[in-house]
Amino acid sequence: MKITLDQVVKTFDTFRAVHGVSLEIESGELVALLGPSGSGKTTILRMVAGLEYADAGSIHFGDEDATNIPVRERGVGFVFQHYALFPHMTVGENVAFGMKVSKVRRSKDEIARRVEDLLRLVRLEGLGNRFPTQISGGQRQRVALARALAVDPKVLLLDEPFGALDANVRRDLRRWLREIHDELGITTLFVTHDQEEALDLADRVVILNEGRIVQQGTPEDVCRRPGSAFVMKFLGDTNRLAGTATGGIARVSGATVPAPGVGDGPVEILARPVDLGWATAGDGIPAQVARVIDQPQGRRILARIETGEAVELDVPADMQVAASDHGYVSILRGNVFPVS
Amino acid sequence: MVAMFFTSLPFVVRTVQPVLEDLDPALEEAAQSLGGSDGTIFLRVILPLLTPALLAGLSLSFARSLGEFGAVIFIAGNRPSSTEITALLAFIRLEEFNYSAAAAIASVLLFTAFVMLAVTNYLQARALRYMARA
Repeated sequence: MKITLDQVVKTFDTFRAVHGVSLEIESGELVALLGPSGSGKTTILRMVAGLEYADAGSIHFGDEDATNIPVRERGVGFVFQHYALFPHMTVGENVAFGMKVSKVRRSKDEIARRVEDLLRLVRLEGLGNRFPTQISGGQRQRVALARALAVDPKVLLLDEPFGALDANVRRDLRRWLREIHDELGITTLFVTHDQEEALDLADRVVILNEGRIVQQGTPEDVCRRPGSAFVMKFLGDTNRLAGTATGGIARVSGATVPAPGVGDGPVEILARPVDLGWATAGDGIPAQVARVIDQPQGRRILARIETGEAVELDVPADMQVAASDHGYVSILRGNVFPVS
Repeated sequence: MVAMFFTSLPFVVRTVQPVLEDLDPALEEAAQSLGGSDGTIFLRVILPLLTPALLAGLSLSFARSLGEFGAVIFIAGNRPSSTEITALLAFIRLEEFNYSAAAAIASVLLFTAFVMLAVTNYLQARALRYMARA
């Protein structure tokens, strides 16, 4: 089911949470709404679900105008951040709830069979008689998903689905959700503030800030071609260096970066730690090492360049470097944005 | 009855209120997104979650009502065999220095209170069985 949002606006009291957001989600797509807290991503998700109503604009499911359809008739599956499992019901009863209360009459056997199928799908066979307090967080999340899928939703909406879980469980569940999505082909929209999660899971990432879409595209697009300094900074560790652009080339003391299409004037050069190089002699920005952090995948140098700005750079694990060493930072790759 | 309703209601309200305030609104939203009507959500989701608190409030107010006589006498009077209450009967026997009769009435009260306590405890444990951890 294709979802279309057209100029959707939502205001809470005096705070405008969503400013005219337009978004198309193709049928069967898995899309992430990514943004810092307060960027309006959860509000958008709740409006798609029908848990909030848009103040202006429209939301279409396929060709049907769903803007004013209440949540119980909208046919969405919603997975809440803290699962919202019914604590007084067993896992099986939780999953069966939607089928029991629906207008479509189903026999007891039919419901029992479907509950079993769903529990198998989320790999929780045999836990049907447990209560939610008796299972782990990751298992609860999977029950919440099974419960949402039980009513054959047209779209699946997940609010920070893995936010409350620890890192290892999160990674497993991510891969697993991707598998489930590929198996069922259901249009899925999820909200996260974790860029790694969005890039890992989604076909398309929509980055929001202050109630507006700042960039959308495939994970490759947003990573390799960030449209603004905000996107670049939000997606991962970033070094910011002040420089000046002249004739399509940005300069900082001792280093240059190509800046096609950037007008002359002050610019900021943004580069990931891996996009900076370190050498004890040669070209580059003179710098002094403040600290070296050892990590499983290599070493990270925290250095201060001659202008006083702090930079972080990743170097191979075998590089010999220690605090207070002097050296030169080179910019291997960088994105240049005019200073506004 | 009317008198007891008014003096005991606060006990039920005060025990249910914090539970009601702590209920996660997402539970209701989840039930809505699964297609539940307001009535169904109340009966199947909200009410069962309030049951333990309701029972606690009920047993508290019952315990209070057993020993109460001031409010009842003012509202219902003390007509023999129709609005007489046990607590007052025991008190009258005591004033007549008829200790054995007073003790007999009091032990009936005591027994009733124990039974009531046992029943509500049992019901509460049942209603809260989902809270038990594995």
